[in-house]
Amino acid sequence: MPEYAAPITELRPLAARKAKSKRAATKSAATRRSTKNKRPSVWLRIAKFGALASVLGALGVLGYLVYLDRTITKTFEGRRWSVPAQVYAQPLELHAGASLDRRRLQIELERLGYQQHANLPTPGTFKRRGEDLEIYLRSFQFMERSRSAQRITVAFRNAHIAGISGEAGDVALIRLDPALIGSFFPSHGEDRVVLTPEEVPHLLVAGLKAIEDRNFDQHIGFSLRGIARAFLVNLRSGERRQGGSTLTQQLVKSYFLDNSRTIERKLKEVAMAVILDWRFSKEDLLTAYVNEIFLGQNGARAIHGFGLGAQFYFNKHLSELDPDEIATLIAIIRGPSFYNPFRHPERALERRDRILNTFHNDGLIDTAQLEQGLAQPLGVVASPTSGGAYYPAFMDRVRQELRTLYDPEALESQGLRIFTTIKPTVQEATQQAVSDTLAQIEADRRIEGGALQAAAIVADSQTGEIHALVGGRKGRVDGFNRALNASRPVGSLIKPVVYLSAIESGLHLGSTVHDEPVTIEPEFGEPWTPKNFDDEFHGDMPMVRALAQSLNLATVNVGMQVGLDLIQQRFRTLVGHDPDNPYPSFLLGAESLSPLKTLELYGNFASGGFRTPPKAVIAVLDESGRAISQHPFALEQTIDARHAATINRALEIVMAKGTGRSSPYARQGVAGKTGTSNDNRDSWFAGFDNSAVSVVWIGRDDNQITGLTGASGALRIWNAMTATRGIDPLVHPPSEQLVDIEFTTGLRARASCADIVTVPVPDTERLDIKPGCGIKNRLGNRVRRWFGG
Amino acid sequence: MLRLCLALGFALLLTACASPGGPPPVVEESGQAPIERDTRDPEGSSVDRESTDTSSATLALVTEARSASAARNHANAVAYLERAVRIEPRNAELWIELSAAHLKNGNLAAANQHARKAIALAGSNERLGRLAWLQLADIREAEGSSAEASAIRRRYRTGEG
Repeated sequence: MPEYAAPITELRPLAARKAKSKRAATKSAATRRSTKNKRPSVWLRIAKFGALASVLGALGVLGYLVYLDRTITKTFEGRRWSVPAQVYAQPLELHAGASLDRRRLQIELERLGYQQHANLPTPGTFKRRGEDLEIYLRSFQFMERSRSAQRITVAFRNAHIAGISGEAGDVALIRLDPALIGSFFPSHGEDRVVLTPEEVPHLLVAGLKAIEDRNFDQHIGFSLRGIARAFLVNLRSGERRQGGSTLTQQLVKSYFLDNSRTIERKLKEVAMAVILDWRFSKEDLLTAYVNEIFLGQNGARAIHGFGLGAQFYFNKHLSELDPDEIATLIAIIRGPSFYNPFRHPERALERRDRILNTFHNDGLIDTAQLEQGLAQPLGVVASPTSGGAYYPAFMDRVRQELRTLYDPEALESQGLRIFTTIKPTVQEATQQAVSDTLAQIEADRRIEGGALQAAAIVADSQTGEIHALVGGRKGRVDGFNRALNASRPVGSLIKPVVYLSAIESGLHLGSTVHDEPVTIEPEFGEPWTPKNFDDEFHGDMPMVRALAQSLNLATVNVGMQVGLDLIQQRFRTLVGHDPDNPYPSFLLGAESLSPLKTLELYGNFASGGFRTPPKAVIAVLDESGRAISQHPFALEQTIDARHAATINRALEIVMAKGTGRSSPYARQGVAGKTGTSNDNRDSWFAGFDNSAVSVVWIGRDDNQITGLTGASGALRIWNAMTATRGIDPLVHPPSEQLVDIEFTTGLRARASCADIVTVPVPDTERLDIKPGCGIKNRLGNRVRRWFGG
Repeated sequence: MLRLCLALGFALLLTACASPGGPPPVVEESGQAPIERDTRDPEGSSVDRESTDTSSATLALVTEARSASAARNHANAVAYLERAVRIEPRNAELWIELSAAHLKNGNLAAANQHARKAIALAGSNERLGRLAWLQLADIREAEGSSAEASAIRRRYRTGEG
């Protein structure tokens, strides 16, 4: 007893301890009284003391049991009923005309764990028939409606879907089920796929009992017979083949006990198991076990429960597992690292086969199933998406959005389903582009491997919905999320705000600006003399060239002409907050923004003049499928459509002729801007085409010099991202008064006689004409100009 | 021209499908409500016209959204229309529908901005521009600016023929 007597005292609830001291006080008073009368015999005193000690001991044990009961019941209830919030990616939409070939659809299906099968026996299977794909879709509860499982046939033509037919005729539109990308488990922060009792396959239930706990249905949470049998089996085999713990004990252990092998811990475990067994039904306990048990480790992520285990090891839903796969998962329980099927396949296979034989001996599977099972390889998959897609950086954003909308308790209500905007293929391609390009840049520039970090975000240009969010070079690791939290000077990415304000103040892309020395004497502090990147002065030029070549002096001159206040006001409307830097250095991007905020800034341009804050959450549904909140597109017109179109033309020229021209996609209909902060610490690129807007940042976590410009760093990542995504060329809204001007001088010219760009200019006739281009101006206008009209 | 022909083709296809006997193209669920052409006054409806650029997929969603609206399930109507916009983000007609759904739901701020978005996307397409402006007029009216609403209507109803 002494070994665990101490903790009992320690753990006894305060009330019990108080009771004890009160009793002790009463006792000493009584003793004093009796001493006065007569001395009792020694034996009587011993007997009295013994009785008192027993009572106290019994009370102590009772108190401890009450305490254990409260603890275990609370934990069990908490976990059993806190079904996690499940988070889903955007589902892939299938419809005639969608740009999707058979191979890619097949990949998408495989990512979702659909298996190729000749007969389409169950939902979650597909097969090829000629050039078509037949798919047995799983049922799914979407936001607007639930869809039952059904068979469809998808036909393809020229890398597009030609048509879809279903059981009752043509289908105009249908979605694949969305990928589950994670879950919030509010009470313990882990991630798992929680199953209801009905969702647990019968073979798993019976198999678990057969292998782990034969008397499960009879015992009281603890089984002496089980211990005896395990002892005998282990003695006979000479190794530790069976544990004596019941499933209930294993569940308790997994809840909160450490792995120390002390008698105290063991007794506590037994007591809790008995309490659980007494309080809850066997079915509840088994379901909790299925959802709880530890099945392995994937990097920093623990794989708990058979639901997640099935995804992680087989990329399948639990309900779709074959007997041999169920046997493998059961095999792993005994020692997730000892029987790790990736690292020790022979051990895992041997144990799986033994388990299959037990299944057969117990009549759980027939001989044919046994033979078929034994003939199968382990079949574990090591695909990047196994274990469900896992995108911690994007999930950070989901949490961030939810936090602004709900208090944490609301999210703890059961079984919420959160629909999000992420597109797993875009996410993975973006992550790959970031990781690969950083390694290449480091190799090319002899930078120490791993020194550079990056962030990248891709969103829909019209709705602001985030399709990919990369927070660092390693995608599957939780950690500092640079996309959300690295606030860095944006450098020249700010310039479009300056030129937008200039255009709104009456200048145009052909207006002459002066790239010449400037010194600003502020009211307080040192005078400021900015420089160009190349330390040169480039003289007079059209505004479009000043932006395209990102000339600092011209920009400061334009900015001071337009007015710093006005430009800062503009910035405020575009991003929704005040700038931090009130000084003229703001004009050159001495203003820190996170990549996500920068994306928001460029969303104004990409959407044709609407502020569309990036968003990740589409809707949150409760357990019954009712939307408890919906997050419709949020947009606000911030720029007149004409001016937005003008800036976008200029940003397209940045790519075609300016700092973005090194990109292989520069002339394919994209708009963008490079940015570099002081001393080349931060390398930025923001760009968009007709459908997507992206921002890329490269820098170092210690904010040291990278030596990279926007073009030599971030733009290279964007190129790699674009290589897989492709370009959806910008479509210009109709613009009046487009005119060709020479890029360097701003003179009206023709392609035959000059290097020209096409820009909207309100009063074309006022432009000077490049001699020798054969352009005639109308006399009237000339006369007007002579007289300063 | 090709797009116009395709759109015309879709429209014809839909007409055929909606007629009794033909198998209806459906969204998601076999046996769900078949797509019906909107028979309201064309002024109140922007989609389902011969000159539409809207594909049969998004048209199906618009139909679903209208049914949801009719059943006063405005949240679902918005969800259907946003799904359509995800497929065709630059389709001004869808943004007009979305604006109308927000208006019905009493969400005037969103309705207003969505109508402006439709105006911006309509660009030089006069028909779409007119519909988008008339949508904005409805919103201005609901926002209490009757004079502005009337002015917009006077200007953009004239081209209606």
